[in-house]
Amino acid sequence: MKRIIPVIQISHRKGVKTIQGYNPKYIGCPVNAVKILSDSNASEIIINDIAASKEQVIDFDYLQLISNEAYVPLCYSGGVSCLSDFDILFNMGFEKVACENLLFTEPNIVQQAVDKFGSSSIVGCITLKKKFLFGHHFSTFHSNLRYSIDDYLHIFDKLNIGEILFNNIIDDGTFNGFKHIDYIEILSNLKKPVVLQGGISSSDEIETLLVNDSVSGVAVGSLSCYRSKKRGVLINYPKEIAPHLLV
Amino acid sequence: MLSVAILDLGLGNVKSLEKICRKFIDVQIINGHSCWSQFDLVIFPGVGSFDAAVTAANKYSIKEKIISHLQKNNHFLGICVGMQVLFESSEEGMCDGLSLFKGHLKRFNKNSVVVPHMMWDKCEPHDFPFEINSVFYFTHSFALFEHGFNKFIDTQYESKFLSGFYENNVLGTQFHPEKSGSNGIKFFESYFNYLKKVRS
Repeated sequence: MKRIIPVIQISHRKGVKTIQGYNPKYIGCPVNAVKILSDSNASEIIINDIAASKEQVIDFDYLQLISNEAYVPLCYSGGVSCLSDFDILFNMGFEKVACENLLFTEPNIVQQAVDKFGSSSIVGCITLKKKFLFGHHFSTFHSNLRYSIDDYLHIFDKLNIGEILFNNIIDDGTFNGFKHIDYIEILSNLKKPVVLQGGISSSDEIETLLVNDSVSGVAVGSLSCYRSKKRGVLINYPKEIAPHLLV
Repeated sequence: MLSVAILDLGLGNVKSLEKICRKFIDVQIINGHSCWSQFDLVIFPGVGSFDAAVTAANKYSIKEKIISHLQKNNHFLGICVGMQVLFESSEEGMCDGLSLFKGHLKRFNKNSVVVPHMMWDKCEPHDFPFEINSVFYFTHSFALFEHGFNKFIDTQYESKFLSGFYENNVLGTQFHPEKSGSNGIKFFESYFNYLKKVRS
């Protein structure tokens, strides 16, 4: 069965939604958003602290408040830098922790986390960014280092990462549609669950993507934060999906 | 009134379990050194690798504690890796399991299915002591494909595997009821009601 995963971005205890990774717009209280999505029986919820990613400081006290409201699986991403960060996050009720920079800067820490918490608890992120003039490349979100898709395939396989989150930052928050299914098909050769994110335009598009065997789940930001493309804030869980795809 | 404890060995989502249990009953978080005698039910939560969980369990003689606890007609719940460690071994690790039940956990074949099995999936109960007829959240790469339980739950993925069992007051679940939304809340309600009934 496939998953639809709302993404709640937070920055300094505020719920926000970015466009192409920038211009965070306030969308409300993250604790309240998680409660609404949990009560809607979301398949899973991703909490992405964009301030923690940038400043490398995780607000554990606030994450505990968020975790307290979730009765569905929670995944955290943002600023994880050492094994004790994983320890604290799992202990407070997160089921999965996503790593991005750490995959390349401190792979031994990720390996230790996989060994201790099991591969199914560790998510590897890959971010697709726009090049300065044209085209696109892969990188971690807060660095300018460039990697090839083969670098990611190698590191995901070597570290035995449990799940892959493909973040298409180029179309983040734009409702332009997801245009990079070719990369998802390459990543799915690892036979690990692949979740895609970035630019999803509608429930119909989610359904189309979920039919693809290479896609284990679709992560949605704008669709779960906004009522429509006019961006009126309404925290909601996209439900108008063919029931045979979801449980 | 049920007296319930959650075993915190530094692994697992203790807070999630505590939160869902507190919807129905009072619970205590205990560590490896704690005495179990005052508890009707001890829960071993599960987020972790097989070897890490077995090593932590052996450090605090958890096998002996479980045996003594069950001899007093008390109950035990193991969730995910908390269930897996009750068996003899797993392909995931080098350590022997606690061997309270026979069985060897095997990895799903990644040539035929995506591994880990990470999704909400259907559970089919067989002669189970309380109501289970629902879907739950799974996240695991290893499973038990052969077993001799009479009261069990199975799930179809690569093939049918054991997703839960109930034997000699031990309940094991491969899925995470504490993270299965309203279905998980119903699961704990049914389980606690069952325990209250059998202990009254």
